[in-house]
Amino acid sequence: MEMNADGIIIVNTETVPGKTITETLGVVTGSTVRAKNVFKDIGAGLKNVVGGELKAYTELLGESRDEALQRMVAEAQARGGNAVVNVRFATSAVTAGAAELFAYGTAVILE
Amino acid sequence: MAIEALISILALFGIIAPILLIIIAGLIGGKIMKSMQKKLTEREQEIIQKYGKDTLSNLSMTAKREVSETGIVMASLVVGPNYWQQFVSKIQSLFGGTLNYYDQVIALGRNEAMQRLREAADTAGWDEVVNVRLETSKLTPMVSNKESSKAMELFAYGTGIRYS
Repeated sequence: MEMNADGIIIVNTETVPGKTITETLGVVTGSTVRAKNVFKDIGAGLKNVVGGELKAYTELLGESRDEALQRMVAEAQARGGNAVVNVRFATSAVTAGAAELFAYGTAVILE
Repeated sequence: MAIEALISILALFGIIAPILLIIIAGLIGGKIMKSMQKKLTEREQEIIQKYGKDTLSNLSMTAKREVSETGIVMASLVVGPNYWQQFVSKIQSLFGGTLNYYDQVIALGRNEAMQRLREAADTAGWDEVVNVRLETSKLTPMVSNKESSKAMELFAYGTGIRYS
């Protein structure tokens, strides 16, 4: 998955290899709370009988995480940064059937 | 009389159905996991043959070579133990010790997530993935007091780098 399309470099290392950071712009965050679709939940419940991968959930969480990352990128852009370094992800179950997907990192200006 | 008979049939079904599901899960579930494992090993070999080594590393930087481009790579999947595995684990957890089935399911899921990370890096054109982090999280069931789905998400992410 390449996220460099809008010119923002996202890495989870402390520095961007081959480039120098001239200024840090603080922590930027992006989060999304998603609930599962009841119908998908039933389907996944049935799949749970025999085990293996629950594709409906994999897709749901993947989409949500992309959205969280996009929100983080938008915040970094709003601050005038052109890269986000040291990105971390967190997942927490806020309530039954819903999950929060959270991405955070440091917005920086490169070169 | 007819109503009573109907109720007793329904009650019997209520007892038999879960047992039946556990038996079905025991028969099919093992095969599903085995085929997942087999496919996974094949795909791992493919990547190793293509790059000559494992492309993942959790060091912040590996080689001292010039890097031209970087970007984030993510991969995840949700897996759950089947009814048979849940049933056995529940009995095992009474006595404590290792829950073998949970071990197996999580290990398989994590290896699969890492393999997907390798493949995602491959399709994005990265030469290597550094600073790989692995995360595990539990999904809560829709109805909180009912343990409907015991699913967990295994998530892997890292920084893809391309050498110039």
